Amino acid sequence: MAIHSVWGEAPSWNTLTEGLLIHILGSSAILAAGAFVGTSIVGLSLAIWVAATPNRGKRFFDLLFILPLAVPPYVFAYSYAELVGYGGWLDTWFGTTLDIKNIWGAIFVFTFTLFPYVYLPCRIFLAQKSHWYEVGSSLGLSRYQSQWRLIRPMVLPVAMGGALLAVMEVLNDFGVCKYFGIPTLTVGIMKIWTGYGDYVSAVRLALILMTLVAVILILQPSQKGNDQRLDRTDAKAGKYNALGALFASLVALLSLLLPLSIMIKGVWATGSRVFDHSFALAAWHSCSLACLSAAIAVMVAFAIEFGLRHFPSFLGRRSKSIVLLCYSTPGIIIALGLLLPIVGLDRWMIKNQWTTAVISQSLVLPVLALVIRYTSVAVKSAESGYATVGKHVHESAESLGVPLSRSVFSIDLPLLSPALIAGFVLVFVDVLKELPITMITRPFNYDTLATKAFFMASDERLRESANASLLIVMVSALVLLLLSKKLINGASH
Amino acid sequence: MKNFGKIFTLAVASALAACSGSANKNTEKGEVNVYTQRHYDIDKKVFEDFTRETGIVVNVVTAGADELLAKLETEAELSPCDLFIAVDAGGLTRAKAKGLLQAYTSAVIEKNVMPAYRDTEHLWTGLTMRSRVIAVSTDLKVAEPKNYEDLASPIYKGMILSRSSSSSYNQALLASIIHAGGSETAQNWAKGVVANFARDPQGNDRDQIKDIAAGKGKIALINTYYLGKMQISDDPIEKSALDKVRIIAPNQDNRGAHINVSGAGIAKYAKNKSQAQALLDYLVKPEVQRQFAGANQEYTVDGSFTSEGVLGKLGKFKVDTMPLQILGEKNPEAIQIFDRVGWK
Repeated sequence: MAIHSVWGEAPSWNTLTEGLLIHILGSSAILAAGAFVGTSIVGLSLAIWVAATPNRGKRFFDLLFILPLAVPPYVFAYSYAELVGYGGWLDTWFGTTLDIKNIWGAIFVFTFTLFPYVYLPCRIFLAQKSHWYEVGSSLGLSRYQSQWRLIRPMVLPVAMGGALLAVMEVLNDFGVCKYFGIPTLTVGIMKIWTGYGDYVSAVRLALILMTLVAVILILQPSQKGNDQRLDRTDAKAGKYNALGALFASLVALLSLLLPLSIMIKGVWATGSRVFDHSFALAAWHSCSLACLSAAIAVMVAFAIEFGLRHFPSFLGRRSKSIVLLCYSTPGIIIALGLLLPIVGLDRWMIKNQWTTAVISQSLVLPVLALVIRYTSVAVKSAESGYATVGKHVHESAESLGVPLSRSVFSIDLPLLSPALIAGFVLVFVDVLKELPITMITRPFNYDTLATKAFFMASDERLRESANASLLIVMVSALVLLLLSKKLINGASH
Repeated sequence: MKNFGKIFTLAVASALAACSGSANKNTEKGEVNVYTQRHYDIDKKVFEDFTRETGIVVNVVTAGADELLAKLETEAELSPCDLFIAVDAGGLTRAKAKGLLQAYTSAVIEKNVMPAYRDTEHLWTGLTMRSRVIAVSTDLKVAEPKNYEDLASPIYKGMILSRSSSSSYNQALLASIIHAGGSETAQNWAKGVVANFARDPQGNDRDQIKDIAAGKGKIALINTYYLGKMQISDDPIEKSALDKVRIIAPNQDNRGAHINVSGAGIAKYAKNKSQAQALLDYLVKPEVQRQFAGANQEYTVDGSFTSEGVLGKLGKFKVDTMPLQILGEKNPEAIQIFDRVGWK
């Protein structure tokens, strides 16, 4: 596909290079930078604050601050447009409307839907480093001082890794940017493809997108880089806590309570009319697809990280980079790029009369495409898991004569399990709200909650679409509830 | 470790269940596989009625037109698709240009679909029609626009609200203006409209009406289909916004208001050809057309202009009779113009 895009005829490429491209790249860059800073600040501060709260509250907060991930950004955007627009609550109560449909509004939307990407790995990291508080107190530092001076510099690279995932998600977004009228790369790709029918220019744009992400990946700090650097800024301990609580409540309000209340309002008005048995079926499709894809993605991620840890090689690192790059490829290009070889395989099998069943019309296709797209999320998770496990663990296992085949189960998996479960949850929730791949690769009569929500929203029936959106959030909440205890607590042992 | 066991078991179980789920087919009278861009509840009901009447099972995949076309193209002769449905002439024209459709016509189609709403080589047939009309604020202080062309007039400076140029509705409208007046006229028009914008393009069709109600601008373009949906909406905000605008059917003294159709064509490699033909004939039958018009606020394609609700109130108006396939042919040029004049 890449080769074709470089040599093929690209009728609309000239218009693109007439100046539009600069414009597109500029707005993509502002959006990406804004989301990077926004998710980092919100995610990291919350993680640090929650890590310092009493243990009983932790699980509640974890749930509260991971759950926003389950709200599809475009649903969030629609909800806020209603909230601050004509006839919304802001209008009713304060007689004013706010213009949110612009690039700053989009940064707001992405910050408050994607900050869990930063929050979750930071929380796991902090839970594993809780002994640093004791180190701090032996140095005569208060709990908050040790947090600020000792732990924050260590957790920064973890936060940046999470924020980069968020940035990739932002660069890949279509729904929010199209609705807000922001010409980003992905909007450009879709416009060129659907408007001009110019697939070649579209793929060329996608290649630019992938190159950008490759650059980001190269620039990414290594997990150990800043360990030695201590920040000398003083923290005001008592005040910080109260401020933290205020900040946490504000985030909970903005990221969850307000959009959820708009959704519930929509369900209240339309639920009885819209909700039928097809929702149960769609929910089932969503869950099984997400579960299957997430499980496979986690297994692949573990295999990659395990391999890299024990048999580091140039080839291994490169193949990992390819997996990470897939995350930045627009879903639709993954789906169509995968369809071609699979149809080829079908054709070959039918020609050889091996089978009449066709793989390209089965669930194999969406699962494979989703795994390709989201394995990087699980890889990132597993990587941060391994970052906390010293190499000496393996060395001592080896010196004790434990074969690698046994240490997989007795050492690597147990140590990594919180990170892998985190990866599972992230991929599960991602697949649950995923659209382009599911939409184009699904078999006949196979609705998911995300496709239901999307079609109603694209028909400008936002209140009806709230039914499916709310179900997505509820299913995600359930999965989080089941796994969150294992997730963070497991990490501290 | 227990966790992994659980997750793995769950995954395998769901895989098995997911596979078994798609195998429930009642194919005594055959089936017909539809790739459709129409994602409306009424379509689902119409397909169910069709199955009840004929015994033919309708299987559906819904997605965007170009995604479906790319899928059709890649699958080629292995494609399961029998009938392709798109919501604008652009999608249908692209399907034709890529050679993904096969010709079909019948007495039922010729009787119920006006020639302007069909492909000249019978590769696709219109199913429903929509028009793009002008909404103006009830407190507009200057003369109301009568034509699309008027929107470029400097008297409307700072008044016009629009959605982005990535909307296929705006692209098709500009394509019709290119057809009517030539490229240069069209580009000057687009430039003039951009100069009159009250704000950067954003939101969807209904948002433009809400923004007029909120006082952000005075004039917007909207599809009749959304207008009707706003009128029958049970959301009080939408109704109250609609009360603050007047609707104008443009270009009544010349070519008529711009229209577009949703339509269908038989896929080139259709395996269930006769069933697909039966379904296509069924969709243009007067009683089914009335259902599209009533429940979905669209116009029928027989030229009688039958519609209900707010669209009935808007009355019969003159529509542009240009061959619709030109909308698809001029679409790329329209986007080029939008990009050139900075219509975001």
